[in-house]
Amino acid sequence: MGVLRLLIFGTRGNWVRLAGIVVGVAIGVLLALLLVAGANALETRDIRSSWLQPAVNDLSTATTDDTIAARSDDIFGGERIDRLDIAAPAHAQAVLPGMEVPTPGTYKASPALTELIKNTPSTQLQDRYGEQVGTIPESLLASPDSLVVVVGGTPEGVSALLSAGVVDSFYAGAYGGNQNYQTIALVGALAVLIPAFLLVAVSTTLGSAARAERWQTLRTIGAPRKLVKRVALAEAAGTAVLGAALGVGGFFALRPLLALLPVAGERLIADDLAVSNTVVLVVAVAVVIGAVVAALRSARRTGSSATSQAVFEAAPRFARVIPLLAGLGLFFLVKTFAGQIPVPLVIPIVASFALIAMGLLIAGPYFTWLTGTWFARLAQAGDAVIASRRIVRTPRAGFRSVAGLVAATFLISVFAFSASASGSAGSYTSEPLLPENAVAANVKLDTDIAGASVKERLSRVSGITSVHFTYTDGEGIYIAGDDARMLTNHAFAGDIGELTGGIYSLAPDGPALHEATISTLDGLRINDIIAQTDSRAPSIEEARTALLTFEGVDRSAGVWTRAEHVVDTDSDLATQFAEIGRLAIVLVTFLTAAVLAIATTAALYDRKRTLSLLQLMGMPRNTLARIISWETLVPLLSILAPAVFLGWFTAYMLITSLSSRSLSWPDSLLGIALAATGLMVVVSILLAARVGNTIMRSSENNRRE
Amino acid sequence: MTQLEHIGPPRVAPALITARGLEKHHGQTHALRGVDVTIRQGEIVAVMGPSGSGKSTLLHCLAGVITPDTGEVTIGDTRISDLSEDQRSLFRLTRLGFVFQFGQLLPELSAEDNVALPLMLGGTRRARALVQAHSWLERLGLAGMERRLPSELSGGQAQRVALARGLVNAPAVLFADEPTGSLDSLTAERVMETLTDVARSTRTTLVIVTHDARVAAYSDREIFIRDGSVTSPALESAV
Repeated sequence: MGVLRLLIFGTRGNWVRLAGIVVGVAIGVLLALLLVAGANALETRDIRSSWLQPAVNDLSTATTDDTIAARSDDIFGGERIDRLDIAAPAHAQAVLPGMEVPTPGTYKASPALTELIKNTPSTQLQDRYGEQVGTIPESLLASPDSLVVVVGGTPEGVSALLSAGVVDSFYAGAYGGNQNYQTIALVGALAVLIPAFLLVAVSTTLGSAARAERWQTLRTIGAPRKLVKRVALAEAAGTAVLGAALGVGGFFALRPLLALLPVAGERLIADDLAVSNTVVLVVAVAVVIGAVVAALRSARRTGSSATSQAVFEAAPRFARVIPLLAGLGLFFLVKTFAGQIPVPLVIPIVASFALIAMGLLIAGPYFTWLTGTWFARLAQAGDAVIASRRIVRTPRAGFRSVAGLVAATFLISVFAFSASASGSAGSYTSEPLLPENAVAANVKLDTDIAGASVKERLSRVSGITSVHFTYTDGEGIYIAGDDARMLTNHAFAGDIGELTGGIYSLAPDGPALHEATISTLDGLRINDIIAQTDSRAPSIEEARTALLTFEGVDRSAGVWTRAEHVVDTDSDLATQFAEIGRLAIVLVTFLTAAVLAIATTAALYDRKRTLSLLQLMGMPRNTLARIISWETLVPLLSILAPAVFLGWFTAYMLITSLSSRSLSWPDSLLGIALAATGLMVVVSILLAARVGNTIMRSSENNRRE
Repeated sequence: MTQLEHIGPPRVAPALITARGLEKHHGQTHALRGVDVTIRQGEIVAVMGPSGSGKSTLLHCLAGVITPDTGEVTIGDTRISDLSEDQRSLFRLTRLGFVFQFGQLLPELSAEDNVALPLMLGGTRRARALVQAHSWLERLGLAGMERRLPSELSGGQAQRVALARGLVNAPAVLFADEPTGSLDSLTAERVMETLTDVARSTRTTLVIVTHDARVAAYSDREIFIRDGSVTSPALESAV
């Protein structure tokens, strides 16, 4: 035991190395647990608030015992309010546990919305709902920030709304049982878990050269292999256990802070970030076992001989590319036979993604070696010669430093290209009829309202400057020529215009407004009410409130401005991708920075003797920075383009397998993320050069006798 | 050529290395205590002393690897003590050569690249540097081993590669720190013969740090260090 203690804690350098491993393992475990907790929290909060999207049956089956509900998105000041109009008889079968349904003319609001209503003039918000009779308990809300309102109504009134249905059950399960959402969540979790485990793996290799040298010395002086193994085991298990314990402790300490992070605009509830003891134990034990196995393998390699020789890696084989090709092939199969696969689509999709992500990391050393060999042939300057030879002789170690960066580039590309699908559906393809300062409401089907009374009532709202209508004959949507000219900048010459794509003009083909074939609007039913305002935010909200409370307006279709309509159109699969993607990108970027810094610094410490020699020979200081640059950039560039391409390919396969959308060019997200990654590389190289110079200087001051 | 036949430098050769009043501390250890040394151009000098006496510290001070706490070192017209760290690096790269114990070759570089390294670090392109490297390897009997890695060379071969590396940039001074430290006696003898022969034929000043009297016997002159101070040969003989 005394020998063990001396061998492990004998030197200050070893202390520092062990501390580095402990910190790396702790951060990896912490992030893995936070990720599991985050996934649990999202699911828990979704289940808790899933009553807002009840499972409904067709209204034709309604009886007097049924609860009728209609869900809609309301908006105030750009914030979305979940609204549920509900009509429930006293003896209704489907009930909301923990809350009594408000009676007609009254409402219950979440605490956050109650606060908002309290601080807002009633004509802008409260008048939309009636009289408040209570608050919605937190046990029914996704987040303390949730803006939710349940409005009581009569069966007739609620039934008239477009989205109305007979409530079968208020609980449809997490994400409404949406498999796509589960797929996205799993892909996002994998995206963060991969760099988290990379961090743990890289940390446990800290100072591996120094460790190998020490074990070699032990073997040389006659220490039995068993002792070397015991030292390795004690060191690996000790650091891994301590790191895992710190990671678990850090998780419980940081959990309340994570709850403050807004996800999809809303904070989490701290209690939702729960991780079962089993999961904590599994993560911790897996990390410890992984570290011990890696250390024992290393001890077996270096402890097998008592002679000291420089150890180079064998040239990687093409077989390393096979998992990557398998992932690509599986995606092709999923896409081609999507309808015929007997298992839920989520399984092969997540498997393909995992194979490609892991395959990229497994193939990395092979690509690094290929590029390194080519680079070695071209290298002429001293720094390039040193770097290229090292890359060729130790491609796995060379790639390890940038593995996190490659994983990050791939994942960022996946999310950025996936997010481009949302843009492809939510942008205007022609000038819309609706000006930016107007709100529009859709009139209920088969409801005939008199234009004059609408205008008279809306004229009392101070911010409304004009009121216009569209009309329908059941087939087309029409607008008076004068109104069209007032609302748009179109040089429309006709008396009556026909709207091809509705007032928001999202139709991808043809002009949004053209001359109608009908000669009069008399006798047609009003389809849309458009209230143009003076552009002030309070005026828009007052106009919206007035329209929402107007008998005949279909509240469930939304009363929106043009900008709000685009936002709502975006709330689909691709937007969920973008949401999770942004979160994943931040985490992955952080992890990547840690992996790159640890791996580069560790590699420099392992080459202390070489650096010392080069310093003695008089190597200029900036040459070291150039060596580090080559050693970082060559492995990185060898696989950066494939990583971006595979990111696009994976995004394409994910989106087209799960939806009918297509990808377009990514927005600035990809550029910004890649620029940030590039900046991190530069900062890492500069920092590593500083560390390298410090190592050289400290070597220089070492006595050499 | 043996040491009995050696031709010493002309007595009129000018001083190349001058060190005055060198003091150096390593923590609590007083490694050098007011050392004065003069070494002439083309001279082969052995710095001798027991382990921990300060001989390697003296070599590092003379070569500008470390700066003394007090005192000054001049090589040729250059006062090393006045140079910045970067200037000292450049000076070492272009004017000095080094040979160390076995194992001080870069393991991932072939023999030819190890030899060419000082030239490449100084800005010479590899293709051109290799021409000179090959010339030195051939001169030291290592033709045909250019592509071998250090791990594929014997101790003596590796040391000759290191010697070629030390000489490839035609240094004014070659510093050798225990150059035969890890070699058997026969190989050590061959390496020392090669080292001194080359130094004499190229009129390169050679400073050898050693504790081995057999190695020191190849030099023109010996400098003894004990407890950080230069002592007289007579005193050393008595000790």
